[in-house]
Amino acid sequence: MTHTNHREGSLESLRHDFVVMVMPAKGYNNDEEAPLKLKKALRIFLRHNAVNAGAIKAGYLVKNSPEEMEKIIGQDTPMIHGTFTNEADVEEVVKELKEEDMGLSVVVSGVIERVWDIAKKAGITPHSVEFSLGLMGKRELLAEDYLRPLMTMCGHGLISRNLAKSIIEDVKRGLIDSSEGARRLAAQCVCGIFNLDRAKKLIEEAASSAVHFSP
Amino acid sequence: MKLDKDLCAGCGACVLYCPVGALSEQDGVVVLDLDKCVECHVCLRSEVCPTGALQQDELSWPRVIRSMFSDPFGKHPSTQHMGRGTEEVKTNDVTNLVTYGNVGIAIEPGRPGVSASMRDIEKITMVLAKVGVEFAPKTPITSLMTDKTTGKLRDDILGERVLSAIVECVAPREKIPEIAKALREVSKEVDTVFSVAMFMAGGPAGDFPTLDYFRALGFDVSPWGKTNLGLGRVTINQKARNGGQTR
Repeated sequence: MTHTNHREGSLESLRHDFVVMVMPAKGYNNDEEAPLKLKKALRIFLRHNAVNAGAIKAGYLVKNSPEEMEKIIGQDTPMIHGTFTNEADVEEVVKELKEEDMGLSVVVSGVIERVWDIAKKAGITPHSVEFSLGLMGKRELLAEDYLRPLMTMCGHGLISRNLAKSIIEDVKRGLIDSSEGARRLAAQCVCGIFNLDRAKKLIEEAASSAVHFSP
Repeated sequence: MKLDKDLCAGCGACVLYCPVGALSEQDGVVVLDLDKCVECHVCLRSEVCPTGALQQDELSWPRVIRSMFSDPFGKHPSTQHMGRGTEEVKTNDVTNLVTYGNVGIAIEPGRPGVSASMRDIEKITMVLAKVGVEFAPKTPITSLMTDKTTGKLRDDILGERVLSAIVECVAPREKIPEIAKALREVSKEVDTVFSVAMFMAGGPAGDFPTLDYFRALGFDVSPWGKTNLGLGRVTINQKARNGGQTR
């Protein structure tokens, strides 16, 4: 799946967003030890300041405690994600995952130049890279530009444009703060890949802009 | 999905949550447009309906296709995976699905936040087939093809809509310019948008194309991407993988 691969936003905003995924390959290494390895990866993510974490059949931090997630993770859990804001934290995570040598695939989504630099520092030559090559088709059907950086943080497309817009309006009117707005959006993303820190900033930027709303 | 009109209080709380605008408020009454609804179940999971008016009805073929692609908890019989595609680049270090010299292509019609009809998805699969790509086996979309050489999908599903679906295929790297041209052409014929991704293995020296290479082909290249670090290895022996038969 390409679900962490098409995040939109400015380069400056994207530079503060990383998703690290650890995944067994079905039929190749999803053996009986795989769930224990996924739990270990989750602990590594949390130790290094993950702002979100989770996966289908693992729960996610906005809804579940780490303890609950460890209980949910089992043989049918396909992967685990950790979402980060700081590059230095991702460096530590990658270093630790390399040292743990779990034998599962590790994929880092982020600004490619930064991720390759992180890999280099850990003494890793990347195996494969997936490039995000933009959108084609009827662009007039898309949500407004200022909403898509929020919407595309859920790769399954579960965050509606109306919800994103409504939350920004609520923040603008002082009905909720930007942290609560980010949390409400993150609740829609069941994989735990929604970056709450980045969302908070995006919501604040949009709410402070006079462009999007009538008085 | 179904909306029980007797139970609906008309509060409209659910309307905000629908990613495809299938729920709307008209004259104080909530209306569910079943043609637009992709059965993603976001409205149900949001738990905002105070009266339980939104309900999941039993989906039969071919409508169940909507749920299989749109609900991240929907499992495809073809992959036994939840999701709209397969493991692709995520485990390429272990599976070698795409080897050095080839390119994996992942086209996602409907994304982000637009949805797509199976008829439009077929337009894309058919144009890619003409270029000579090999559709990845055991993917949800490939499993719905009646002819993998033409990219033709089953007729009985063409009227269905999904939040998005991933067309996955492989081709030699040299075909990338031809694929770019084909995608540009079909982009004028579909009533949706599609996201484009390409992935490849770098070989021992980490030999990857530059972002400028893709820009020169007309792609709206993002600085963002997915990097498989190559830390995976096989632990289940090949004989067991192949059901007791060593290939």
